[in-house]
Amino acid sequence: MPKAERRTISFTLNGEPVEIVVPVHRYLVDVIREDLGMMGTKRACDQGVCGSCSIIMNGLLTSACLTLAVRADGASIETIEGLGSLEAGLHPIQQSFAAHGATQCGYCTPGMIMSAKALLDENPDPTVEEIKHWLTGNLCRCTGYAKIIEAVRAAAEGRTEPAVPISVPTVKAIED
Amino acid sequence: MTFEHVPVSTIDETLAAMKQFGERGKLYAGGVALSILMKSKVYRPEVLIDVAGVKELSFIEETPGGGIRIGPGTVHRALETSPLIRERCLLLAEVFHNVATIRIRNTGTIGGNICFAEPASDPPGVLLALEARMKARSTNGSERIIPAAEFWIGYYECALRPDELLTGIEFDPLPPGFRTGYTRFTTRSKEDKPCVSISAAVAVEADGITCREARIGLGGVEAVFRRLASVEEGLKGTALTRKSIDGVLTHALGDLDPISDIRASGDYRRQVTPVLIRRTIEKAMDMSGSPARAANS
Repeated sequence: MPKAERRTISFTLNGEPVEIVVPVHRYLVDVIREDLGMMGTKRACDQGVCGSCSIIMNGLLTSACLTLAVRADGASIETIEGLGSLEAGLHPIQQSFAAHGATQCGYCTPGMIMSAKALLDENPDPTVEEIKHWLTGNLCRCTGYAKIIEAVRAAAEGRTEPAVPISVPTVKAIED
Repeated sequence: MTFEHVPVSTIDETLAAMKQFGERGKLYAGGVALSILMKSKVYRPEVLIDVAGVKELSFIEETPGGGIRIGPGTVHRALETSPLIRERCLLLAEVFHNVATIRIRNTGTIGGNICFAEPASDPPGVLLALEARMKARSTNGSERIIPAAEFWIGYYECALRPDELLTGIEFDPLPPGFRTGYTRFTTRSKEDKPCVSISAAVAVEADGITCREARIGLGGVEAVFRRLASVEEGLKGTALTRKSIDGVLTHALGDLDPISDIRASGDYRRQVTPVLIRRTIEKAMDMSGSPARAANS
């Protein structure tokens, strides 16, 4: 087994410059999670199918598990951590997911939100069909798709409240 | 598992690297299919020649003769959204709109897709119906054109030799009067690869119903993509109604040789293929009133 070649790469991650040495065979999802400690980007199928590692790279929705880290050299990358947090304030899409209860176990949520962000960046007023088309590549094994689609639609409309009032924990309650 | 990673930025550098590494080197374009093979430990290339940075391989352009030329490094999403493709060949845009998911379409390339030659795939069938021509350049400098009908030669096997690089995919948009339809039939989930894919282009006589010419590209059913010559021949001169299309398909698919795999049994494919072909032709015919759907409007 030959020794893995290592290369220094630099990119922008959520607006912050990053420089890191990586083996050439390492995939971006592992660099983001294990080397940089940002656990929002999930690694599940590891085959580009499930969407849980969705990131936005140079403005394009991308599977981090199919992207060699060396290909991120010079790129601008957004992950869920760059969108917002409870401390810094939630992004409107995150707010909408919370308000609609559009999460069950939550594992697919960061990928769903990154896909929704890429969609709304390109098309701020998508139809339900367009939302479904974009989220086709994000699997929720709890199968909570209806609320997810409604949350994306509501975010597009600038609504933070569900169209049909439902009982959901408030963000404050989650924090407690 | 590791490999040598050799980024190249021009066609000449690519060919030089292919010559230098020979069978040890594999071209890495979008990296979708190859990454999955490597992660599944099915395949371990020693050297990845990374062509993502070769700008010369990524383009969509009109040729002086009115044809369309596509660089093999063009990602699926660029083909899906290209105004030129939408205007000159809506069928192709429609097919690429349905390849995998947005993420994969942002990454995967048309060249990688057609060279990988996986039967469960969308683009090859439509390139067959469009009678596309693939241009290849060898490391020894020679060039040749491979017609789509000769490009797919086996299960996961295309006609490129190890010393050849795909440099272009060219086709002439369908002449006025052709109507087109595409069907991708999945058996497991919406975003699955197609179990059966049918690309149809049909032209009718002045009466609006008698078939003058039909081109049917078949994918997913057999080990190798192909045009259904006996179906095309049978449809010629026939009224494109449900009954007579079914009549042709009853007799013209005797040579079908379906595969059995995780998506369906061979027998199942044999049952659904004629139905899907007929529906695709009906879809193409139904759209005749819509100018946006005519091949060259």
